[in-house]
Formats: sequence, C-alpha cells, structure tokens
Amino acid sequence: MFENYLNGFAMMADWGVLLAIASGTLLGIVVGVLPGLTSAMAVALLLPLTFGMPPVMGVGMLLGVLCGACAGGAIPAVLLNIPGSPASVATSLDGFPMARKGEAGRALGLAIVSSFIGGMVSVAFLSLLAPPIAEFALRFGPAEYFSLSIFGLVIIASVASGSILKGLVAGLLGLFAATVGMDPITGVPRFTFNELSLLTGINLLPALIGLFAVSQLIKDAMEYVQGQQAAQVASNAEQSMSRATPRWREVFSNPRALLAGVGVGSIVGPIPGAGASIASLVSYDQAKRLSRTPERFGTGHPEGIIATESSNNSMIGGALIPTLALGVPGEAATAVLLGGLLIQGIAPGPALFNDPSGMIYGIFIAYLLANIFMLLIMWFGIRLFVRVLHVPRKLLLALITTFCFLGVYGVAGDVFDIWLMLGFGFLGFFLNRYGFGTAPLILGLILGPIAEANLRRGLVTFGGDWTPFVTRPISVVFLGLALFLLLLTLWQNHKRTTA
Amino acid sequence: MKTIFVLAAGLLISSTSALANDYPTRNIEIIVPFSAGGGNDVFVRALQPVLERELDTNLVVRNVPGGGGAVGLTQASRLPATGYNLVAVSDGTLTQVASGNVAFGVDDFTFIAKVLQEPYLLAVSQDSEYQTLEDMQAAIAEGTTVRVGVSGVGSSAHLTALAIADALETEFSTIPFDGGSETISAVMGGHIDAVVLGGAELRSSMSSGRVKALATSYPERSDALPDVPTFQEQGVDFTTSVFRGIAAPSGIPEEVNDRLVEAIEQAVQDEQFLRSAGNLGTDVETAYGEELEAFIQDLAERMQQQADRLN
Amino acid sequence: MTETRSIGATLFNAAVVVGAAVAFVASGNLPDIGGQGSLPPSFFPRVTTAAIALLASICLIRDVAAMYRAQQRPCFPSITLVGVAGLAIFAVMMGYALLFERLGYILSTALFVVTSVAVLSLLARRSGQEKGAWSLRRGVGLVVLALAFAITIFYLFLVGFSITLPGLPLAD
Repeated sequence: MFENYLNGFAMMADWGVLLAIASGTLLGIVVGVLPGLTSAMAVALLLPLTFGMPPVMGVGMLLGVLCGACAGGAIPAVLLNIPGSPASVATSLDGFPMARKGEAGRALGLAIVSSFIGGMVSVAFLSLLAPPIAEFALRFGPAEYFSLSIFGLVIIASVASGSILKGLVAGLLGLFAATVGMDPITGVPRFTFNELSLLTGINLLPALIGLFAVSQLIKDAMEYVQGQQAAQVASNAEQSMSRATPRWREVFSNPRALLAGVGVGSIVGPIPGAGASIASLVSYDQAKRLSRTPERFGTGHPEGIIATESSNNSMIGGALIPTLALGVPGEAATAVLLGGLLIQGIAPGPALFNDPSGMIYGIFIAYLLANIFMLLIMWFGIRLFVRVLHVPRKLLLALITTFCFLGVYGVAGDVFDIWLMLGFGFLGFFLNRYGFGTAPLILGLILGPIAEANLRRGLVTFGGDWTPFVTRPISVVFLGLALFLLLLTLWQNHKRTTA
Repeated sequence: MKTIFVLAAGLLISSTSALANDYPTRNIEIIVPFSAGGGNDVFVRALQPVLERELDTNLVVRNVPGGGGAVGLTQASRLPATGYNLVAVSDGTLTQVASGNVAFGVDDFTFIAKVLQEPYLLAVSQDSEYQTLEDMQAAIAEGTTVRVGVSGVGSSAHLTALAIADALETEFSTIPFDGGSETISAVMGGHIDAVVLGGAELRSSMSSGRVKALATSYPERSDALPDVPTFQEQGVDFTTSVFRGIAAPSGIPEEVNDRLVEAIEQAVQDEQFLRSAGNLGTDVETAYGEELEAFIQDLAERMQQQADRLN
Repeated sequence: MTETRSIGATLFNAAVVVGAAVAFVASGNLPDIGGQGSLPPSFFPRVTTAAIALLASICLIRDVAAMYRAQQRPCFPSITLVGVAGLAIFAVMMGYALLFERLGYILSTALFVVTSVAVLSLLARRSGQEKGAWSLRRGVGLVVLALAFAITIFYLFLVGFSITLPGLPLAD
C-alpha cells in the first residue's frame, strides 16, 4: 500500500511533470480570478497540449487547473463581490463584508489556508474511500435528488439577509425563474418569448454576476457620489497589504467551521449533477448552525469563509470520485478531464484502482502536488491581488464593470446574456435595498431545476406513485432533516422575537 | 499612440477577405455550439492540432453554448461564407431543425465533411435483469413497460429511443435527463432499466464494467465494440448512427470547400488523431460532397418524422 | 406626528405581487401534457407564482400596517443626487451593452470606461465630494489608459484563451 504512494511520488521526479502541474495550477488560478472563464474551458483549452504528454504529466496539469480555478474563484468573490461560479457564492457572503471592513488580506489569507486544507483532505478521501463513496452517490435517484433539493432550500433561512419571509420570497423568485426554458420532461418552451437564448433556461452565470456584482456596482456608484466608504477603504488598503498572508492559526482555531466545510464537501460533492453547485452553500448553512456565534454570519465572519472555501476545494476531490471510480463525471470540468483521460488511454472504473502500473497513485500524488502549488502561488499572489484596492475608486468601478461584461459575453458570445445580467443587476439592487437579499434567489435558481425535473422524473419512473419519495431511506432522511431544520429555525426565530 | 494605430490597422487588414485560391491566409474560427467538454467539443479539439498542420494556419475554437446548440448554429448560419467561419455539426443539428424551434434550416449550411461516427447503444446496468435484448423483449411481451433514460428532452438520443421502441413494437417509458452522465448514473444505480446513448458517452462506464450494451445500432459489429451484437442480428430491424462533422455557412467558394476537404482527408489519416478517436469510442468514417449530401438529407427526413410524433 | 416615509419598499412589494399574479395566469396557457402519471409543465410555475403572490402579499400587508401604526405619512421616493447617480451608471451600462457588438470590444470598452468615470466625477463634484478643476491632461491620460486597457484585454483573450471578442467595426 505504502509502496504504491512512493511509486506515485517517483512518477513526479521529473522537472517536466512538476512544471506541467505548476503551470496548470497557475492557469487555473487566472481563470478562477476572471469571472466567466470556467475551469471546464481552461481544461478544454489545454487538452490538445496534453495529447503529446505522458499520462501522469497531462492529467496532472489538468488537475492543477481544477484545483487552481476553485481556489482562485475566492479572490473576486472576496475583493469585488463577484462570485465567478455557484461554488463561490457563499464565499462572498462573508468574504466581501470582511474586505469592506478593510480586512481583504485577512479574508484571502483565510480562504487560501481553508482551500488548501479542503484540498488535502479530499486527496485522502479520494485515495482511501473512492469506491464506497461512488457507490453511495449511485444510490441517488430521482426521489433522492428531489429530497436533497428540498433539504437545500431550507438553507434560504440561513442566507436570507433579514426577514425569513422576505428571504423565502426571493428564493421562490429563483425557483420560478428556473422554470424558464424548455420543460425538462416534455420539451414545451415556457416563458421564452421566442428567444432562442432562453430555450435552455436562464444561464446561471449572467444571473450570478448580475445579482451580486452589478447590483453592488450600482450601490458603489451611489456611495461614491455620496462620499461613503471611499475614505475608509483607502485608509485600510495599506493595512490590508501587510496582513495578506496565509492564516493557519486562525483557521485551525475554528474547527467546527472547518469540519462542516470538509465534511459536507466530501460527502455532497461526489453526487453527480447536484453536488458541485450546492456543496459550499450547504456547508455554509451547517457551519452557521454549528457555530457559537451564528448571528455574525454574513457580516464578515471568519467561520463563513473557512467553511465555504474548505468545502469547495474538498469538493474537487469529491467530483473526481465518480469520475475515476465509475467513469461518470459530476460536472463540466470533470467531463472534459474524463475526455482527456480517455484520449490518454486511461480507462476509469474499479479496475483503475487496482491497476498494476500504479497509475492511479500517480494521479493522487499529482493532485496532492497541485494543492501545494496552489498554496504557494496564492501565497505570493494575494499581495498582488489586494493591490487592486489601490486603484482609484471610480476607475475601479468602471474596470470591474467591463470584466463583468467580458465574463458574461466572452465564453458564449451572446449579447443576450449581457442584457440578462443587467436585468438581474437591476432586480438585485432593489432586492438588497428592500431586505429580500440576492443569495436566496441564486439558491432557488440552482435548486429549482433539480427539484422540478426530479420530482416529475420520479413520478414517471414510479408510475405516478408518490409514496417512494417518503419510503426510500435516503430520501426520507433528507426530507426529515429539512423538516427538522425548518421547525428549528422557526422556533429559534420565535424565541428571538418574543424574548 | 502610434502603436495603437498600427495594431488597429493590422486588425482591419487581417480581417478583410483574401482571395479564395490562396486560402487560408488567416486564422479560421470553428464554432462549437456546445460548452466545453461535450462530444462535439472533444471531437473538434482532437481534430484541431492535425488540421492546423494540414492547413498551415491557426484554428480558433469558440464554444457558443445555449439553446441546446440553437444559439451557436443560428450564429454560424448568419456568418459570412468565406471559409473562415466553420461550425461543428452532428445529429443534434438536424434534431434542432426538426424541432421547429429554430430559425435555420439544413439549407443554411454547406456540409463539408463527415468525420466521425459512433453507434447508438441500448445499454443496461451490469446486474440488470435484462442480460440480453431477448430478455428485454420477453419482458415486453409480458406487458412490462421498460423505463429508458435519454440525455436531453427532444435530443437525437430521445428521438432514437422512440425509434427503437417502434422497432421493438412497444412503447418505452422514456425519461429525459439533463446530460449523459446523469443518465448513466441513474441506470447504474438501478433507478431506470436502460439507456439509449451514443457509444462515446457510454465508453468509460462500459470499460469500468458497470454498464453493459445489449445492442448497437450499426448494421455490423464494430471493431471498437466487437462483443456488442447489432439490433439486426438479433432480429430487430433498426440501424442508425451518430455522426460528427464540419460545416460552413452555405455558399462558400468551391475552391475553399475543396481545400478543406483535402486537408480533412489528410488530417483523419494522422496516427495521433486515429488513436484519439479510437480511445474516445468513435470510428473514423468519412464522407464528402454528394455522398454526404445524400446522407444528410436522408437523416434529416428521418429525424423530422420522429420529431413530428413527439409533438 | 407628521413623519414621512418613502413608499419605495411598498411599491416594490406590490410589483412583486402583481408580477407573480400575471405569471400565474400566464402559466395557465401552457399546454397540459403530463403523460405517464407525471405532472404537467404548468405545475411548477403555478405553485411557485402562487406562493410568491401569497408571501409577498403578507410582506406588503405587514409593511403598510407598520406604516399605519407608526402614523407615518407615505410619500414617493424623492429624487436625490445619489439616486440620479445610480440611474446614470445603470444607463451608461445599458449603452455599453448596446454598443458592445456594434463598436466592437475595444472601442465600446474604452468609451464606457471614459464615460462612466466622467459621469461619476461630474456627479461627485455636484455633491461636493470631489474638488479641483478639470484638466485636459488628466482627460487625455484617462482616454489613453482606457484604450490601452481594452487593447491589452482583447489580445490577452485572443492569444491566451483563444477567445475572439468582437473586433473593430467595418472589419468584416
């Protein structure tokens, strides 16, 4: 057993391999920082390059991209309130308020360490427990996905900024927006107004950037004219710089948040199709419930950052589990990676884990190294990134806006997405202003398609029978948990208002 | 300031169309109407390096996802027919036309080459009660409704599943999933009975031993999957295949078409490309010119018939 | 007790209720094909819009009741300089979206950067947050910076990520 890992290390004893992993990681971070560029796109871009490489080198480079992109996503989420993917939404919930308080360096320092720990734990999960976890993920059928999404909707109460009732309204708006596009079961177009771009539904990225970034930019412009914030941010920028180092001790002194992040990321992450986008939000919710200071979440609380960042990096290892153990990729980036593996002649499946060549151990070690490179590059990188805050405020506003446009347009090349982003930005501005919040809407938009399609799919497979939703064990556990957490929240809320 | 003008001027010159006979003189853009990572995308990325060498220019791949391919195809159909704008096409292109939701038709494209093909497979989980097509037919004869997963509502896999049900003289309970991997994990976990998917998509799960193909839609067994019997040899009259190829907005100059055909002919003989294609579970099966046109017309008609039934 | 209170929140709440009601009715027009024991396409839109209308109505009633209890006099949101800034920046963004493909990435982006900085400067001067005279040199500097930024990003995407952004107009 131990020998296998040593062999894996031996495969790395080549400057070319190390360089490939490091450059993959660097590219990943760049892609993660720029909103709109996805890790799937970066992996696809590098794919032709890897054809000519030895397998471990090629796969190592692609793993570096996944790892770097996930960690890099924290940077715009913290500094600018632009989550480039659903996985970083929860990061901006506490990271951005902390940066606003002049502690951007601290927020990034926490994010980096948490990402690294999450990544390292997922290496362990991947190498020790991949086959059983993959079997667990397979037990998710329509009923289980539906119940999982209902469980996820309970998170609305946690991410709602003010009143739970208003949070619910925002969440439902998201659920309704999710029904736009071709009906997943019958193919009937719904609310598309003959717009081709809406046939496959509202794209998540324009909605995300609109709700978070554009609404924030409008608010920033208003505050600039009013004269708020500007002075404070400028005076704190120096302080931010000096604090921009990894914060090991602070992360380890919050074991509950770390445990919530790593635990949920490793278990929810491997579920194909749903895991990647919701794992970090679920961790955030769990961390808040486990926390001794839940009321400080959303105001720049370190626990929020630790939970989400450790979760979204442990999720990468999670997403690799079904990819490597079953040949079933969980989302786009691992799907491209799987293409890369196949072209290299590496066949995923249980056999890969017992392959005498020890290839799989090479992959584990390559992923481990990618995590270490991520830590090193980000370590030096954050000092550079917080410099962004030195750019004059009104110019920064304009430049961020152009990046939002670029991110939304760049990959798909569809101006419609820009208009969609602006529409959501306008809506998001008022949702924030009147206390509804934007995070619940995104949650609804992510969970809506999972809930609807699987409820109806389930009814088709069960021949119109509702009972399997409450008799299948995993499904009933999730529904029960959802009900329990809902009642708990209402009770706590009641206690608070009457006290 | 001066450099800016030079750059700007360079940009203008480089994008005016050059004469057709020394094609290509600048970068060629290929639109992939799906996001990175799909079958179409991987196909283009595998072809990209070899085709770049043959044409001695850069191929720029642009993913334009949205509308299940509709957005990218619509965009491509409206681009100038200079040969500098190409688009990756597949069965899905014809399915889009057949659905009637889109504003382009088959005539809006000049199909330059068919490059790859793969079979549709009817596959089950390794521990399924249907170990052969015969088992499934026996269950159908007893009145069981087989639950078949496909990727994407109204997709070509969906239409093919309907056609297979026809050939088996039954009706499936067809369940659309969002993508290939969701469909495959549902059949592995026993949540549905079978799937109808392209060979490339099933390739990795078949090699992991968790999924077993009952029948291939090829007329004969393929070298890549010698153990999978055809529908025909099991007494079911059904043949079809998935194709992937390259097209351009209709009306490109003939010399350009010839040059591209020549380059693709050379590119597909490249060893690296052949190996990549084989590893991905597809077969290199080319067609050009009139042969391709007849193939497209035939496929388009069949798709239309199935789509009409679906509505 | 003649304290006034802006009805912005109330108006927004009411708009949500009305929008949900309209969408609820529109959902009824969706074809009713369920099949195989499943729910029809209109099921989810109907459930969500009904719930939105219900919950948003409760919010609305609570809001109005609170206003009544506090004996505040409702008034329309007043148009302040700050509000104008929000609207102006959003309008400039819309202009950018309109010109994005028409002028190409480089020109539209440079134009947007210059315009939005100018608009913010102008408004900040009005509110007294920014002082000092306009200077030609700084203006030219901004234009050069904006162009250099746009060109750098354009080529970074072209070369680094193989993504072709819309080029200059008249190019094709």
